[in-house]
Amino acid sequence: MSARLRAVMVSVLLGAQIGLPAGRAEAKTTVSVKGTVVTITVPIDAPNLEGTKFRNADGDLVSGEEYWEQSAESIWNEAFKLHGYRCFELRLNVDVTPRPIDYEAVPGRHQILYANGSAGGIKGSVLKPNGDTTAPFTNATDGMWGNLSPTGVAHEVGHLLGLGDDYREVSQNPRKTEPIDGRQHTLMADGGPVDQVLVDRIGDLITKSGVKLPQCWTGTMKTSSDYTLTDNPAFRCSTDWETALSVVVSGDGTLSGDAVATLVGGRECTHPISVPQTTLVVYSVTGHAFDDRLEFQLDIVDAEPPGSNDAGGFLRTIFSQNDLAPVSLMIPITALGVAEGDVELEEVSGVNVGASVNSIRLTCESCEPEAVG
Amino acid sequence: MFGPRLLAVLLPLLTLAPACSGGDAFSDFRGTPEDYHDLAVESVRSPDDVRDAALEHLEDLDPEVRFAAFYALTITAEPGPSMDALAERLGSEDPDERLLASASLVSRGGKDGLPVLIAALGSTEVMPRLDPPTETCQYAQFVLTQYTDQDLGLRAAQGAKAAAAVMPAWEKWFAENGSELRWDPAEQRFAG
Repeated sequence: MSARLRAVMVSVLLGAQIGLPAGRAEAKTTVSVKGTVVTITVPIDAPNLEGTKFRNADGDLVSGEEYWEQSAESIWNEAFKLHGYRCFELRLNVDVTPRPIDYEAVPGRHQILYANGSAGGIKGSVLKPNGDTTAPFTNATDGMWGNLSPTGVAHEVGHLLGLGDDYREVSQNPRKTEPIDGRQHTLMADGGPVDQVLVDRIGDLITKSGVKLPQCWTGTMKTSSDYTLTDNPAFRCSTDWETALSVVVSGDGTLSGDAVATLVGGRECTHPISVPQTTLVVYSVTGHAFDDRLEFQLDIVDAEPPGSNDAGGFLRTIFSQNDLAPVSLMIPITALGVAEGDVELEEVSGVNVGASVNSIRLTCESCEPEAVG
Repeated sequence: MFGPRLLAVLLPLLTLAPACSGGDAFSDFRGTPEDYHDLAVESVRSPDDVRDAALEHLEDLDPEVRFAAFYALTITAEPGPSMDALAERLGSEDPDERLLASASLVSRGGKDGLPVLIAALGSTEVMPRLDPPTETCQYAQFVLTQYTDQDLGLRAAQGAKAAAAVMPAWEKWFAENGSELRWDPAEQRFAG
């Protein structure tokens, strides 16, 4: 048993005994959150890796540390673009530092010995409990890797993200293994691709490890809007919109995110209009979450097609026509993880009147019983 | 059976026995992840000692120790008996032994391992001791593209069927160039 594993086990026992979080100070795989991007950093000290060269996916000869970093980051980050966790995009940053053979493990960095053998990873490639575990997020971990393929590196880094193997031993002599049911052709089973299940498991491990991710609120706003002229009641245009909202709420209640509004059907007007009708609007969303309500504003980032406007007046109603500042939309939190309500807006500017009724419903999968903000 | 005085003499000797019995990296080897980790550390830090011990344990009665001895040789082998021992595994029916021996030889400039790797292209036989268990064709694909200056369509091959399709080109390449191949230490690969 490695000295550090023994030390970890002792610290776990001691921690349990005196009620402290075991090994907490001896960090590990770390997580930082900015908006909806969750960056996971895996710091690795690699004794015996110095001076090694490997051929990367393009066939170029690169240093051992570059090879480990590039292999893991390219496979995981490509997958993270395809598979999000709740409303978050995960990103992986692997930081490998070659060390001398006799380098002693230090707190805060995993220590993976490069064993220059043909077996890339075998038993003991990463010393951690069986199955998914938060251990790499709370304690530095030891291991030893040989000449790993890029997929092999990504698999082993998967262990440093807390993932267990998705295969089991079905006989010892001769050794035979098989993927766990439903996990065939995936990275932690047999070197296949990263799937949504693996990404969700990593996200769950991050939250289980004590990292407080922002709340994810997602939902829709259904809008019916009218635009009229007070001096000419015969003039009237109507449009309907559906807006998809995705926002995060950080620990201090700050709300941020984005929204995309799509015109539902066409515009209905009492007379012809030459200006093209806006059909799609992209917004940034800012605001604040309170214990009993969400308050937010929509600010236009882009609208399609260029040079268009909304004849139905919706876009007028979400801005004050006095100072063009976004109007605050407020909906009550009606139950744990549910905020919904109708917001009626009217903006009058001279003889122009825009009015909209906005039915908003947002839900939060990750909201815990404690209050927001 | 023993008098108290005799016991007093024997006990310290018995206690010392394991440390004095020529214990090596394979003493008390149980095949746990920690055992393999410690063996790898020893193999890197004291390759000469581990290599000698591994050669002695290659025919151990315990299959786990036998494999561990073989595994240690893949890390510590050098020209001479240890590389000869690996070469003897090139015909093994055990895919782990056969492929790991060939890769270990190839990574040290031993071209005898190349035909074994080429023959594995297209094979879906699994190497169960690898983490994760890996098809031999996938493993051979990595080693061949890592340690030769050839591609022959292999790098882009996805899966055993695609790897099998490029196998004839690799066989032809080795048949035509095998005798002329030279190991380039700077580039860490064979060049024809």
